[in-house]
Amino acid sequence: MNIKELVKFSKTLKVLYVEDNLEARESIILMLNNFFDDITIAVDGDDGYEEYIKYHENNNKYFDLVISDISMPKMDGTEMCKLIFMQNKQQPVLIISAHNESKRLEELINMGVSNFVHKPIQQQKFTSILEDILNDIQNVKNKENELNEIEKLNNELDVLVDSFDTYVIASRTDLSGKITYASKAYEIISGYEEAELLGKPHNIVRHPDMPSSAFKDMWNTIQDGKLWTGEVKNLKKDGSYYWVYANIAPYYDVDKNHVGYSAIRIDITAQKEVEKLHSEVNNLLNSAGQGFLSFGKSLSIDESFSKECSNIFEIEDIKNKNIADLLFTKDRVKKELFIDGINRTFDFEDETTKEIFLSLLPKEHILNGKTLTIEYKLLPNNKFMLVLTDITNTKKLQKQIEKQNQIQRMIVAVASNQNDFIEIKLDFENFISNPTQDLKILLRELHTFKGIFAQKEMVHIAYGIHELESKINEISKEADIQTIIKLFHTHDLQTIFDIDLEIIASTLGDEFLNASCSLNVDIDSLDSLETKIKQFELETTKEALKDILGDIEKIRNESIYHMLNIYPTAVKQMAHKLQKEVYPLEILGDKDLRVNAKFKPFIKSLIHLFNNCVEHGIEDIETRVEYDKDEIGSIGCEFKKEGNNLHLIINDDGAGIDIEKLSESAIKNGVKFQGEKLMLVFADSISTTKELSTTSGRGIGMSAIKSEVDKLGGNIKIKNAIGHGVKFIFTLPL
Amino acid sequence: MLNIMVVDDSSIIRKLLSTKLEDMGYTVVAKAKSGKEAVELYKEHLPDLVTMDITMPVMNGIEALKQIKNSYKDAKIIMLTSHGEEKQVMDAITNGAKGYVLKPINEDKILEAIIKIFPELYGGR
Repeated sequence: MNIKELVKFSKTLKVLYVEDNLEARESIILMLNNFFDDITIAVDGDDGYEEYIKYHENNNKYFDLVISDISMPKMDGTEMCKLIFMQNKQQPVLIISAHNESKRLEELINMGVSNFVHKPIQQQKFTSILEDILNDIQNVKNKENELNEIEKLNNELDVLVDSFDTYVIASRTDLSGKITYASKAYEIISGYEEAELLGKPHNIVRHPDMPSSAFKDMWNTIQDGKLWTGEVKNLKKDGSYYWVYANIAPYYDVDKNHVGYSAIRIDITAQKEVEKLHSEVNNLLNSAGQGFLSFGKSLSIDESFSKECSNIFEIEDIKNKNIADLLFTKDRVKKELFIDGINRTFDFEDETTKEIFLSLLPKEHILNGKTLTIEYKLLPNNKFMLVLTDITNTKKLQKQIEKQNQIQRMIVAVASNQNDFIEIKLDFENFISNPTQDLKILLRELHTFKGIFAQKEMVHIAYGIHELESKINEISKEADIQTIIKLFHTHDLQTIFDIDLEIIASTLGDEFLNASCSLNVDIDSLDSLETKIKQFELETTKEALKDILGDIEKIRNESIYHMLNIYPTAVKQMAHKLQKEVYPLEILGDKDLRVNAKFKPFIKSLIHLFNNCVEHGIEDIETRVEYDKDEIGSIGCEFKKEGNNLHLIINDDGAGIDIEKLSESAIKNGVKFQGEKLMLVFADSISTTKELSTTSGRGIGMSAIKSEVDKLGGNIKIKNAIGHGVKFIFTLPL
Repeated sequence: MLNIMVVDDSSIIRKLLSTKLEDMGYTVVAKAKSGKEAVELYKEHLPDLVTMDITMPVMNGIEALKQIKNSYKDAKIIMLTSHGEEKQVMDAITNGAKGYVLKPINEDKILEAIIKIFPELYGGR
């Protein structure tokens, strides 16, 4: 060290100088000032020691150098050094001594002081000694610094290792995959303690959900000496799981030998849970089979929508598309209503008003051949959610069920009276193979059959006849009977009838259709007849024969009540069809009263009268309320025997017959009529209603009744009360 | 109990609706057969609630609603509507109608419409 460097270094040092002699002190300080800037001066040993301690207390370190005289009052230098060395064995000390102090010097040397300078001090000598001391001090200082640095590094490393262990999920295995190291974090996340892990194969944490292909890929990669990264679901000791993002790589020792594998991982369980929840919600929405989508004021569809939307709109990605354009491809009015309604909800703050607007928007809609229901929901932030449900199949199913129900009703109606049905079937088949040449009768019978089949819910044939009637109606004014008969044949009612028959046969069996008519005969009547015939063998008289024929006729007789009893159901069905409320029809009369079978066509023709009562007699509820009538209408049917006549009364409490309308209609249709105007209801081609229906309303039905009554030699009376109802009284000779 | 005015050009509806409302315990204070009559009768009776048909001769329901609301800001009016009148109902609501009842009318629908505006009917007086 040259002198310059020496001074530079010495100027940084803190020095304690102890000297009792003022003169000596001043001259030596003068010299010391060449080397030191910071000198603390003490005037004796006692003072010196005090400064020494004080300096340490204040600065947490000792003076770099203590320079001291030996002979001093109170406490001499030797004594002071003894105390100082007790504090700090390493303290560098320079003793300035006199010649006569060799004994003390010895003592000091024994204490460990090695630097002495004799008075009078020679500059050069002092400098040289100081140089030695300073070198020593610097060496010590350097060593100290080095040690400090190492200690600091060690500490940092400890912290690092410690936090690595605590926070990084790390492990190492040997080449066979057995665990050789597991970090604290690894213990915590896996739930195993280190001892349980060490020496175990790594698949101790393998979760059954992880496909083996994932591990195959991992092994292939790391055995190839490469880094493998990936998401892994692991099994905890307690059976639950955690997800990590793992980095696994080969591990080499200091000599670069491949000794195993090392892995560090990041815990991604929370992230995975969020993903799972998100995908679960999406799955729910996607598998609900409904279209969920949302949009704002711009009508542009938001990014998230359920999968079903793509099916409904037949567009893969509906994001950012205009919802109104997608929904309403054809119906402009509906589209405008939709846009208008959505826009108006933005003008109002309160939810109730918003909801009112939404309730006015289209709720059912047909798009791409699918029937959709649309539900509207308000979302926060001025957004709308639509829930679209494809109900096409539900609708189809409903129609099928309706059809099934209709078939069931037909089967019940047909099966409840096989005889009746067989008779009608034979009559009808006879009618269509040999149609009458009289147009009036043809139309009448056709109409009666329509009524009967409608009542039996045989919809195909009832509708088939209806269509034929319409066609005939169109041409009947100009065409002659031959053209109409031709039309009658081309319409092929038998084929249409067969559709209904096949449905019946498929349920009730072919035997049901092919059965012949049977008759219930009580044994007594048969016995009595047998006796009479035996007697007739013995005594053949005209009277006896007449008697026997009379009895046979009686056997054929049927209960009139039974014949009429098809009408309560017919009235109920008719009322249901026309959405009118009618009390159940009750047939009143002697249930045992039997009448000749020739009454049957008449009873059957009454279907027109009952239909008329429901359709034109009974008013709708609102009208009935208006006129202070019972909301529910009544239809009555009563019969009784009086003398040799049968009285049949059918009445309703409806609107009555509008005679003026009736007359007008008659004049319009060119019907010539004399006598009571009311009887016009039974004239051909008369109806006061303009609409035609499958069941009634062509004005033919009523004339069919009149014709049957005439055949039986009976008569009809009508009592009409406008606003209160109408009563038909049939008087028929038995 | 609430005083109600019924506005409809159909005599049947007027009668039917009044009967139903009275059966439900309300008082029908006036019946108007056009929008014009409704505006006049409103001034006379100041009913708590009006049921207003939309399509009427002389003055339709929307115009009547506007005129009544113009003079009586707090008038409570419910529209009676048929299918296909959605646009007019939206106009009515925009002009301050409190709700609507879709024909055919029944007690449940009327009650629902009235209950919806209960807070305004009973809270603000």
